[in-house]
Amino acid sequence: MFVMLEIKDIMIKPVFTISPDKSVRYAAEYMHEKNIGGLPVVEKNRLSGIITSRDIRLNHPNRIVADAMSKNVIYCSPIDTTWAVAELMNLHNIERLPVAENDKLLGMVTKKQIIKYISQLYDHLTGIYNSTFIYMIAGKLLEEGNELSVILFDINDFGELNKKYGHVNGDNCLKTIADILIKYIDDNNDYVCRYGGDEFVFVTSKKIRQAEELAQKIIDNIADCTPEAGFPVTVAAGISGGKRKYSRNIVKQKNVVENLINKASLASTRAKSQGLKYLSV
Amino acid sequence: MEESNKKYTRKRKAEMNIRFSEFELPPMQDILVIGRRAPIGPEAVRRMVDALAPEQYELIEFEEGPVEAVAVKTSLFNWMARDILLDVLLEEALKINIEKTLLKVKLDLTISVFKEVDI
Repeated sequence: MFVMLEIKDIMIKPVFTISPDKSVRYAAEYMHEKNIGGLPVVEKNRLSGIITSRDIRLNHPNRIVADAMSKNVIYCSPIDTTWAVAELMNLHNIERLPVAENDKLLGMVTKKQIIKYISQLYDHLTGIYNSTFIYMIAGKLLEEGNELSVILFDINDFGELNKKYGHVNGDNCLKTIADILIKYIDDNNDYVCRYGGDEFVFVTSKKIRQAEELAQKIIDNIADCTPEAGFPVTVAAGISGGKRKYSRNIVKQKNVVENLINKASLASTRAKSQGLKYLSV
Repeated sequence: MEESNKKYTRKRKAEMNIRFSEFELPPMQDILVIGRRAPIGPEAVRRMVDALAPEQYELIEFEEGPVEAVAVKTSLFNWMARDILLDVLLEEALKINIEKTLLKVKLDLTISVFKEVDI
């Protein structure tokens, strides 16, 4: 599933707004009544500022909103991705962000909504990202012009492990492997997710040769560490990519990412059947 | 009993003292100094003077400091350089705890010239 929600899909509309000639006292009462922490200021159909509870605290209640509002409004476009907006809100430490197009206010988006959406990108068992995130980030890396290598790790005989040690230990095994994978993340280049079941996907902007070296290290480390944890397992990996040029076209990005993951998946199956640690395609 | 039936008479009077004078338009004089946390901000002043005395005042805003803006009667700039007037004004305004208030400033400007000539 390739999900990259745009802000227009989650924004709140219609939006409560205020005119700049209202008093700060009126704005405070209105915000209290509507139970909101900020109001976009709209004059002649154009977004001219935003007034927040902080502005209310700092300004005399007799002032007009035009004199209390923040004039340099940070806003996003309805076609911005939730990911880009999360970064924008984080950068400016903003709780509520107007959505506007050509100064015309279209909606609002809150940090709470963004966090809710972002939390859907995590795998609840292992605490690492899930496949939704990996599709999203892989698309973003392509958009930025990065080469992309995908490593898909598949646990050998995981079904047998579940039967032998029980599903609770099977889950613990998945968590242990997730912890090992996290150790190998280079913050600037790599992302890892639990793709589903006993499969993990590592997406990196490294070249394929470096991706192979990385896969080898991870496979060896898993073989070394899991016996200590009480459930010895090995993994096989399929590696793809490192050759594809980026595309700014979102449909093409989707195809490229799907294709890379699919190839890596097939390669891991072949590696498994041939008794190899990994196979690159 | 007889006492209670007595009719009381009360007289209530109000004294009125009425003075008429011309309303100043706008209700400010030569200059208005607006403190950064004053109950009326620069935008409100701008809207007021634009409505009541269009093109007669210039609003000058300051990014920092306790003075947020000054509204100056533009004709004053015909008599004195803008920078000099503002420097003098701010120097004096900052001696007062201005941040939460608005100061109405009346400026009497007299130009005196002394010349010595040969006779």
